[in-house]
Amino acid sequence: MTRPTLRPSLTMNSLSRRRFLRQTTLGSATALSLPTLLPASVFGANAPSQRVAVGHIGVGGQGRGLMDGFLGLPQNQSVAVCDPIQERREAAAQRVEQHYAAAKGQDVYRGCRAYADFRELLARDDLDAVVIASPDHWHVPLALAAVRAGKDVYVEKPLGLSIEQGLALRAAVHLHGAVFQYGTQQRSFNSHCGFACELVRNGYLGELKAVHVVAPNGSTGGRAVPQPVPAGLDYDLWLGPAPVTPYTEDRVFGTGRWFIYDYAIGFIAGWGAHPLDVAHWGYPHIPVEYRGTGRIPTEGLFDTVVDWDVQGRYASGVEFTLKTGTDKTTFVGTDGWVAASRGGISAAPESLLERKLKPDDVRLLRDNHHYRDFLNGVRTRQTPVSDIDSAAQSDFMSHLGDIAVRTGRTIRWDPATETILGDTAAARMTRRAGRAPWAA
Amino acid sequence: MNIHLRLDPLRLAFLAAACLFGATAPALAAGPPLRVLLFSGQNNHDWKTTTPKLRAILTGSGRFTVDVTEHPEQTTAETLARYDVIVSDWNAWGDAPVKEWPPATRTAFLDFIRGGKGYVSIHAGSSSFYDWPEYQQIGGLFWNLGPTSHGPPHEFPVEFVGDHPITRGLASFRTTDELWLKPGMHPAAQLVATGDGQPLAVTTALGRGRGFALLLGHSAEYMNTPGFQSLLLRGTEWAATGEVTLRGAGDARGLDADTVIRRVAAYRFGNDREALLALEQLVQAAAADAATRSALAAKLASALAAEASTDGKRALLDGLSLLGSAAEVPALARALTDAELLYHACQALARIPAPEAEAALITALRTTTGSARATVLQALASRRATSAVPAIARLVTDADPDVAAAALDALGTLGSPEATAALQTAENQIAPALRERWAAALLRCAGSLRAEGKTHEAATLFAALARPGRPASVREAAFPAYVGLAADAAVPDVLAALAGPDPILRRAALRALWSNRQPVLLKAAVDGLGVLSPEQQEAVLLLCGERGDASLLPAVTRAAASPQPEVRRAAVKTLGLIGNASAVDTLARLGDTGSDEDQKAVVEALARLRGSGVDAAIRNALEAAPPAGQRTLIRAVAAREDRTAAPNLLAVSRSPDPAVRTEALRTLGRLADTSACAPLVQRLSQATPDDRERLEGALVEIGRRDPAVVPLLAQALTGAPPVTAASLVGVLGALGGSPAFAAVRQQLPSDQPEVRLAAVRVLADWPDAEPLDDLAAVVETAGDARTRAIAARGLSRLAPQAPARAARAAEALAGALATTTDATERTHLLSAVVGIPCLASLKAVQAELSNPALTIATAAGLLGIGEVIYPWHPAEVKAALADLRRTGPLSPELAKRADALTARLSQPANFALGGLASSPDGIEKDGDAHGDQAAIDGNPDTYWDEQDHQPLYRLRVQLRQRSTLGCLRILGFSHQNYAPKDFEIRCDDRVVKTVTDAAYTNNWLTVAFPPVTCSVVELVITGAHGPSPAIRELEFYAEPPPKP
Ligand SMILES: NC(=O)c1ccc[n+]([C@@H]2O[C@H](COP(=O)([O-])OP(=O)(O)OC[C@H]3O[C@@H](n4cnc5c(N)ncnc54)[C@H](O)[C@@H]3O)[C@@H](O)[C@H]2O)c1
Repeated sequence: MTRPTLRPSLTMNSLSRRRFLRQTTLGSATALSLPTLLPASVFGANAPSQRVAVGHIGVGGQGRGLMDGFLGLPQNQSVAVCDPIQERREAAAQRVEQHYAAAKGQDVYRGCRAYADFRELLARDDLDAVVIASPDHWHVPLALAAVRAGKDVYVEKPLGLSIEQGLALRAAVHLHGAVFQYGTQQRSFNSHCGFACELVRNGYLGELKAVHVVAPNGSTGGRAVPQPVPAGLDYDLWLGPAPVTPYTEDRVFGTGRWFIYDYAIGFIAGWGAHPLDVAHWGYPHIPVEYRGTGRIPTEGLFDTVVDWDVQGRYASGVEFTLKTGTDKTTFVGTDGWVAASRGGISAAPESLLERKLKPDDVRLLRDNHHYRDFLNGVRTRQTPVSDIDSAAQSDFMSHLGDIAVRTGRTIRWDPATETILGDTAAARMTRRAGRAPWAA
Repeated sequence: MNIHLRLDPLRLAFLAAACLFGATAPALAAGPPLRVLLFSGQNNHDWKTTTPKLRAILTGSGRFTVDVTEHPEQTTAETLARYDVIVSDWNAWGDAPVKEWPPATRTAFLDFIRGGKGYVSIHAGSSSFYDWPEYQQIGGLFWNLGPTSHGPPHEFPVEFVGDHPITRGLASFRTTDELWLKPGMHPAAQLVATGDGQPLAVTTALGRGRGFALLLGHSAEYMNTPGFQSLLLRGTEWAATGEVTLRGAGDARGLDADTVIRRVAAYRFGNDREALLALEQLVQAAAADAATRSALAAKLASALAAEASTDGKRALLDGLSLLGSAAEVPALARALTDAELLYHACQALARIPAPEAEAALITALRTTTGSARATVLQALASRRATSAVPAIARLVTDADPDVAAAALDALGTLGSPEATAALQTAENQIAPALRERWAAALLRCAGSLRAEGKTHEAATLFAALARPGRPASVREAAFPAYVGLAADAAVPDVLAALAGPDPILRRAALRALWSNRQPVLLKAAVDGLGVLSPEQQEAVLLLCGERGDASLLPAVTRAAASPQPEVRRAAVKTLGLIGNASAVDTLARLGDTGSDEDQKAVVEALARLRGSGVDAAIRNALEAAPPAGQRTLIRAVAAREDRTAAPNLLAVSRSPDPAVRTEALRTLGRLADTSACAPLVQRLSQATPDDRERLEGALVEIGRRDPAVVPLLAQALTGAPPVTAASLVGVLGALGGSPAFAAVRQQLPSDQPEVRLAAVRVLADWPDAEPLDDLAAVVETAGDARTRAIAARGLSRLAPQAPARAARAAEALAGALATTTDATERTHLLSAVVGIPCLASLKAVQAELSNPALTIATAAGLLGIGEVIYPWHPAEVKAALADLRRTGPLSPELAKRADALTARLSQPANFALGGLASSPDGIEKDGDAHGDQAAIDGNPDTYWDEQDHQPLYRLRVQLRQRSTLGCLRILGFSHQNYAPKDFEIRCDDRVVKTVTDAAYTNNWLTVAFPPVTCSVVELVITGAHGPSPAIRELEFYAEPPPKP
């Protein structure tokens, strides 16, 4: 092969606009009067120029929580927020500015802009990364736009509205070499989930026999009565890629965003993401067969599966189940079992819990702070602990379980081609339309 | 019953919308729909929301068409002739404007019914015309002023009575609604359903007509359940025809396709989605088999062409998206032209693999504009429509930026050589605002080329996209991709980029390192580490760790000496991952210096080092290292759990540096076995107090792991120097257990005061009451005040744990008090003795009353004792109280307490006070209750309660003291509700009384039984008034007390 060359124009002498902005606008109000190329040491270890400039897309319940967490980290500099709900984006921007004003001992601090339209936020070239905490139907369209704009992404769970979306985002993350962190914080914010997985990975349970996953059940209900769109909400933007349907409060401000099929597939993914994430961490494979039962509610507004009971198996023969209940991932091996949930860990024999890893053992635990792990990844390009490959696989498990329930048939998944085998209707369900111009 | 009407603007808005939606009747293929006239417009309930809801449910079933009249009083025979059944959401309750119907209406109404038609009333829909007997007869259920009542809406069970077509095959259910208690029911009405035992639904007859009354449906929100809807629909159908063909809501399976499709066609947002689910199930059932698949698809397509609601059509399109094939494409293509259906039609055409579907979408590119066109483009991309490239390519310059952007994205998704070429050709025509979009699309094309193995083309394209002038986001992605394909040849590019002036390439080069696995690339970067920025160095070092390439060790080792903390720490971390025994020295040296954070990083790295000889290297380094390094190494030993390091740790635990000693002894505690005990014990006598504490800590830790340590230490006590013995006694105390107790006890008579003191101290802190007698003896015999004070404190701490032996403790304290003159000691003893309420302590404190130095605390102590023991020792308490009053005027607070106690003494005593309540029935507590003890805490605001509907409950009270009882009294939860009804009273497990059907008066129940002396009283409850027996107070008396 003859090597195409980059030589002729490899050097570019002017400082890029992006870096320039980062060094000038992110500092204190006085930054503009400083020379633009100060060595980092002048600011000390956490000079603004070394901080990661972050934009927050979606500042509802979870987005605000994330934002507060990011604000507490010295590696972070939040510079923008975005939400189609005016009150939320303004409050969030205000919170950021108050935070930095207090941190600097100033009365006022300006430096966080509020956007309604994420495209304006992404167009900023002084932004390194975005945190996406929109409703689920927006995750992939937003993340794709961000990755294609050269940003690194922290994306809330569950990953996508369809398997196709997960594949698309994964391809884009890899193509761009973007740093991606999935919002499955149990990989960092406690150590027992990782420890349980380390026990499995290092064979301390003997030969693995079964993986049992339990996630909290979804809800039924929601008022299906059209209402006027409240002032300050850009409902069309909120809907984005989803089909246009009459506004009702429960879609946007109730729990509808989690339980309406246009925006989510329900807690089988919304909550399932967490214990399934642990399942995939401990046993990094995807079941190849799924069958299950569940109920699709017909009253009220919500129409995503509840009471699911999915059974399946991995190619290795390991058994897989996904049911409703208190969140938990149980790995059963020939020499014992270990069960991890958000709240804690249990095992039999109990001595497993005392097990110390040997220097040669596989370690999974990383930073004990999920957001810092992401920010450090943005700086060093190291892949954070909840990577896109694993995120896609655990999300696919939710989708395949849902498809098994909805079709009432046994679904066979081919991990090599990532397609559903021998069932055209089910295979068609892996793709969903999107309303322009928002689709993935 | 709700007497006021709420008018909420949102509900009115919905009413308007619902009226619009209701304009078309469903097209019925089989049998004409039943015609309903819905009476509304006046009701003491919120008819403005219930009427639209009723209407939506009725029409949503596909079985009925519905007209609403808000003026039933204007109904004529002529109007009624057009209907099969009247549903009444109307009444003339209270001061309603319309109180009467004109005679003509009355007659028309009765003739309608008598002639064989139907009448249905919902909730209060028949609560009118109380003096019109025929109306009452056909209505069946009504609000009976006086007897009828209701509580707040709540959940209750609905059960069916007898066998009636309306309820046949339905399962009883639970629902939430307003429940009428004792509603008026016409004597001729036939009961078909009850709600919590109350009449809830009836059928009636008048002439040849039929009536159905349902009391559910107080407001629209309670009408959402399958239960309500099944009863409404089936009841209405029965009233109209005398037959029921409708299935219960919630049971759609098994309906034939035509019925389902008909219902789907009538579906509107807000209706129950039962029909949609039924369709989904039909579709899925058909999907498995080719013949049924195409038959159903054809039906769906023709329903799509016929009249149907938009919401219904969307559902039909969704069905077609799963089943459709070329045959249905024309119907789908037509749907593309309806903006409201575009989304669903695109989804179907994207999902159907047939080329005809692709062609239809391509055609639609011409006929659509704006965002519809963009949606079509997205659908083409989603189905990977490579045949669409020319058509799409024409749109990349479309004036509508959304269309142009979607066209660019689509070409990027398609990624075929044609798509790539089309993008390249268009380069100069792309609107400036879309240049990043264009470049991103081309980047994806390059990715596709790469995936297809067209390496050269891909590399050329990536290289072109990495050049300056391209958008930064694309350059940063394209450069690493190019490097990946150019392989080793790209090494100089990467190095130049890493250290070069172009910040985009600098970042891109870093990405290139992470995303490409050629060792030579990383090697080159590591070799050139010195010229990189600290941030880049950090990244490269972390990458070394991730790759685990040991050949990089020397460079990483050098980097560990970097003045930049991030770089240093990254190097250390990486050393841990790729290093071996040879890294120990480097790391140990690093541990000497550096911040706490550095040291932590070093410990972690040492803990992770792999390969043979690491532990030995650490042990070797340990003794020679300077103190800071020693600390780090010791922590590493701990992390690696190297038990063979105990001798080395013992050696360094003599270090002159106290921090090292601390670390070493702590780690010895964690790792060492019994063999380390002797040397540690030996050092106790010479150690400084601080060191002694550390040594003791280590011994305790070892002892916690290995039971052999206690006997060893016990043995070491013999002949040990006093300092050592005292220490060992402390260690044994911390370890606990009977052998340790025995060993410590043996030291009580020691002639060494410090050993004695240590033993007393340990026993005073002992976790159970075992040392009580020993401590009593110490209080009585010990010569020195400090020892006595400690023992006294121990007694008052332990006495409550052993009520039976509490008197012994109190006697000892009383004895000591009598012989002690020292004021401080007396204070200690007194405060100990008042903590053990019994007769002996009462006497001891009473004796103090004559002491001129009497304190308030002593007086309060006396009262405290009296308050607890008065039921058993009333005379003594009375006498003590009298003595107390004789000492002079009491402080207001004490006087209040003394008066209260005097008052209590004049009443029968409740022997339950001070007891211990438990509930050994294994039933979970009720969420709002306050636990077992709440039943006997003397506080009527708290109560004992457990989960509902259990067959047997037990509440057991261990009395404070054996008592003679003859009566029991219960304060129930609320009137008679939730109170024990049937129960046994057992004293010391013998039944003394069986109570059945207990009747409470003003919430109280008093039960007398033959006097019995016992220590435990238990209620075994088998029945309650209400779902569970809750008890606010349970009291025991010698004889029945006066009424409360
Ligand atoms: N990791 C966790 O433990 C966890 C917990 C809760 C929620 N979540 C996830 O976080 C996400 C958000 O959930 P939530 O409960 O906070 O919902 P939310 O509705 O409270 O917040 C979502 C916000 O996104 C905004 N939004 C919608 N479209 C947007 C757009 N185009 N651009 C920017 N913002 C947009 C909404 O207006 C809203 O304010 C969900 O995906 C959910 O699954 C994760």
